[in-house]
Amino acid sequence: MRILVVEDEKRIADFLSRGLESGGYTVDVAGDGTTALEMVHATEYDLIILDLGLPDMDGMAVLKKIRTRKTSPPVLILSARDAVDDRVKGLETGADDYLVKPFAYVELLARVRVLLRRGQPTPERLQVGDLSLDCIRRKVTRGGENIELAPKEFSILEYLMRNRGRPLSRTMIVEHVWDMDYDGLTNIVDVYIRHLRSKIDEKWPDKMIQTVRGIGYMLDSAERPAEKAI
Amino acid sequence: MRSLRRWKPEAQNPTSRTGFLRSLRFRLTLSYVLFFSVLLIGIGLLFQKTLQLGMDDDSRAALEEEWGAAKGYLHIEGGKPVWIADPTDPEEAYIVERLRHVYILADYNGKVLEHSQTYDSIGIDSPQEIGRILNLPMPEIHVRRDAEGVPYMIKAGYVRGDKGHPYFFALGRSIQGNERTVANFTKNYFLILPGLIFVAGLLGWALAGRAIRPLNLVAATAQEITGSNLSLRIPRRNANDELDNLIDAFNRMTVRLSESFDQIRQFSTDVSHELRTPLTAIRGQLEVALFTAEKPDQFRDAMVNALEDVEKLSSIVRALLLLSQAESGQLVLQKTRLDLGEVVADVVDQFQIPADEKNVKLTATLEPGWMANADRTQVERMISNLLSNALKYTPKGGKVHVSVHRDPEEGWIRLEVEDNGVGIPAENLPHIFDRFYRVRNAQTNYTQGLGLGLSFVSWIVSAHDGAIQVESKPGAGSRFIVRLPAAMALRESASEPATTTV
Repeated sequence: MRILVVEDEKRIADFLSRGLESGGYTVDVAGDGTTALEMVHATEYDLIILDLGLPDMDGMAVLKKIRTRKTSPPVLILSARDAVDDRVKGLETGADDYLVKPFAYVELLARVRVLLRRGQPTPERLQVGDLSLDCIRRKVTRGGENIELAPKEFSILEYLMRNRGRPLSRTMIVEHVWDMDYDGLTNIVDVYIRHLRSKIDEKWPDKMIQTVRGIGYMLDSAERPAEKAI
Repeated sequence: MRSLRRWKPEAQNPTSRTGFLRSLRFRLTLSYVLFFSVLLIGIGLLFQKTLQLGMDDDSRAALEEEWGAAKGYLHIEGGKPVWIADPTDPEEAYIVERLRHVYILADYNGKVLEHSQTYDSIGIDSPQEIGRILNLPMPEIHVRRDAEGVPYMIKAGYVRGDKGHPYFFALGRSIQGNERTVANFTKNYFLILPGLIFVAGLLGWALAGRAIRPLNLVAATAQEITGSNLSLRIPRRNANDELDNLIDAFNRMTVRLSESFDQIRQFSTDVSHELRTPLTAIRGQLEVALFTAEKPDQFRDAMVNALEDVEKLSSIVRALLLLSQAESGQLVLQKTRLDLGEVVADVVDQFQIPADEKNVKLTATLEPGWMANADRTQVERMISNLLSNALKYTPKGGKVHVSVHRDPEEGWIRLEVEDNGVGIPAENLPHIFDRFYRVRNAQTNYTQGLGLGLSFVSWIVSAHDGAIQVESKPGAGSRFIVRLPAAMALRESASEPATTTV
């Protein structure tokens, strides 16, 4: 997996590449928009991490140019601007995710993992161990037993199962399920996870929903070992 | 731009907030009513007087005619009055009868020869009065009242008898009708006056309301203006009157407010951006070290880097604090008489080591004796900001030159900092004194710095009533020129220019 980091602040570019490289990714760094566009042209990247405040051109302009290409990788925007407008504008311009500085590195890593998973075909049926979820009929069974879930519980479980073995932060879950970015909502995630656990985990010895310290939650089955968390 | 048609109830009626009696509308109406009352009363009195005078004139003319007629009919023969009238002519008899209704005839001693009954009621003239009137060259007209208060206009004079003796003769005519007409006019006029004043009041109220409506509109718009809708404008009436002036002034004020709001908004965006960047670096470096570092050296590196960023963060906070103190007027300048050349020499000394390290030649031409009333700390800060700026943008082997000398204009000192570094592109020149503005180009891509130094320099210069300008050519270098007012005694010692190459 090859990632392009477009960031003019040397310190930030340094720790991003060091961290991502130790996570097993190949990382290139571009210090300005022009270089970034040249590199995107020359190399196929699986993901671009794009800072909006670039010395030579606006990050949005870079994003637009990347998006005009026939095939373009997912783009994760980093920005020091956290106004909702900026965020909406970024996502509308074609970014796949938006992270406000200062961010937690684990949060970035979790998002990178989910973005890299994108593009793979999404099955109609998700199966983790003996837990299965039917996306079309919106039915959940475990060990052949029918489980009734509220709509939000279903969405969270679907999101966790799609990203099996990948930790998801509370913020990511809120953004995905509620379509919003409310800091105050992150507590609600814990409440929903508790409900989910009582419905799908309580009666079975194999506890699938795991708490990942410092990030959020991950779903996996003991039948198949999880990916390394960090 | 959005025109305002909707009025808020509380803004529509200003009396609800100002008190009815204090409201402009009420006071305008009151002045209007007072003015009309005085005017109408004055007009009434004038009419009354004119009417009275006119009617008196008519009565007087009639009396004169009667006087002449009476003189024609009256003969005095042997001290006895004889009225010559054709007894067969009833009209003539009637005229004489009428003439004799109010009359008196007396000899020059005051002895009454004949008088009418009515005249008795008016009062027989005294012999002195008769004597006085007989001595007048012309008859006299006056007004007297009878016992019942009926007014009579009386013409008194003399007639000659058959022997040429003068006799006192007075003829009168009731003018009660005149008085009644004037009194009726006065009564009727003052009866309808309150009604007129009331109508004037209503009219005044309506006019005042009309005049004040645009004011209320201004008030209503002002009410609606908050930090988030400063684009609101009051539509002009295009009457080019005082109210349009008010509306224009108000709109211009809103524009200025909007501009300063934008500046503040931009500033807080900039500040948050400037603080977030080092914070991100600190957090990320420490986290990545925590998750990935294996050897103590890697932890050490991360901590050293993080500490450097913390230092950068605190210098941003310090500079921001200083700038906000300066701009809010909390930073008080402690001005003393300073030898500008000396101060510059000190600062240039301090910059020799960093200049040597960067292999930049730092020189100075300083004329001593240029005195200025200035705050030493701030002037030093100004010079060091200019110098560090020049060093930052001058590559290895470059030159930075500082000079203090006389300005072509009398009473000014000139401080120049010149370098042959990268220069500033023309499009960036107008912004270099803005906060957080940094000229970014290929050579200085990863440069540090806050973008606050020059804005602080600019503040210090203007706080000393000076001026700063910059000349620059990309690739050839920049020259900052600071002009400061010289202290009163221009030069204390007129020594030769000394080139100090330190």
